Amino acid sequence: MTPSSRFPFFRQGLCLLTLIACSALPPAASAHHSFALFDQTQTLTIKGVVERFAWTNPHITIYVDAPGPPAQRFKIETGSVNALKRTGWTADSIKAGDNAEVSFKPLKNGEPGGLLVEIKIGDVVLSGGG
Amino acid sequence: MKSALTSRTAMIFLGVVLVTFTGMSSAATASKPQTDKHSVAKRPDISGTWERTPDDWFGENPDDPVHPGGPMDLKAPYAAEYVELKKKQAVANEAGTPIATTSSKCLPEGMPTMMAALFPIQIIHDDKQVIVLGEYLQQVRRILLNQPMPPIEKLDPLYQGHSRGHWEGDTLVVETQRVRTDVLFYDVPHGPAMKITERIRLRGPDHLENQVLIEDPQVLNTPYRFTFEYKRSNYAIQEYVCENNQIVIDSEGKASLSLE
Repeated sequence: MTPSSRFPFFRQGLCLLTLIACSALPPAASAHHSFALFDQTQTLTIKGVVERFAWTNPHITIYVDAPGPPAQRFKIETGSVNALKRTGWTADSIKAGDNAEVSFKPLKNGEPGGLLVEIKIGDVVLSGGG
Repeated sequence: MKSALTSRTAMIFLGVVLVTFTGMSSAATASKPQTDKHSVAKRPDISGTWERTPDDWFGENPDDPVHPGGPMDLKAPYAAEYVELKKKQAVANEAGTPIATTSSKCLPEGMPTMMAALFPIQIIHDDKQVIVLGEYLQQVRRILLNQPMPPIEKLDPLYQGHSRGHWEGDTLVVETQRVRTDVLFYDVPHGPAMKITERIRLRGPDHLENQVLIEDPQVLNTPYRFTFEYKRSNYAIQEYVCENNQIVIDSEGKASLSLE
């Protein structure tokens, strides 16, 4: 049982800067796996192109191709569809081909991936959830 | 006068017939469920969507949640195993390969964890049953009302166990048995004879309380008690299909994220 609501950055939920004001949002939650996969002490930021947006449970996943060097595909995981839908995410919040700036808590094993903190696409900022 | 007496005699006769018939009828249906004296119109309406309260019920660390009734009074071998498990988990977490749980495999939480309502739950009820729908993993729990619990040897183990309930005044009392023994509660196992008793009642129109008692002669020295509090929510429970599990579990039970 691992709800994300205890992490301040998870609780920010979604802030569509161009559409709605950030306000008090219900806590996002995930029970699927431990957050120990990720290094909570670090936040990395990459820029790239969204290769795929998987609107799926138990986690929404965003695949981002970063030019590097070295060129890498990052697998960025975030909360469940149910939790993030409550904060305003939709199935078309992110699309393949979007240019994105992504900050995330990296995988401890050093592989190119992590837990989403925030993704910026143009003026839209989406905050992650566990 | 005679007419009145005749009428009274007829009423008494009719009454005797009715009582006799009713008695026969009851005897004939003795094995059927009792009638719930708390009809739909009279009993408390606990239907609706519920979320846990207060918001910080889980504690600060998602990998070390607060036990709802404090530490459990475990019998010696289980207490030692629990300490060892916590050490093993700490090492695995530090390495970034946490030990997988049933949830990591998209399996149901089971009882009583489902009632912890990490995601919202919805309650639907009528005279014969209370249905609890958990959004997380689309779990379903059926509580049959006014039916005796079958002998334990007749019950197959289930994630949510077998639940029988009845109303005592404003309180729904539910007994649950035969929860699968691979279902853990806060990483604590249980024996096949574990019994969960819940006392569920409205403390206000939008405030639901569930007093839970776990008795387990195999694992617990003393019964474990705690209370889940819920607030009413206008949230509509959504579909949750665990279709895209990206967790890879190795031979030691440690989890990592697939990069596929």
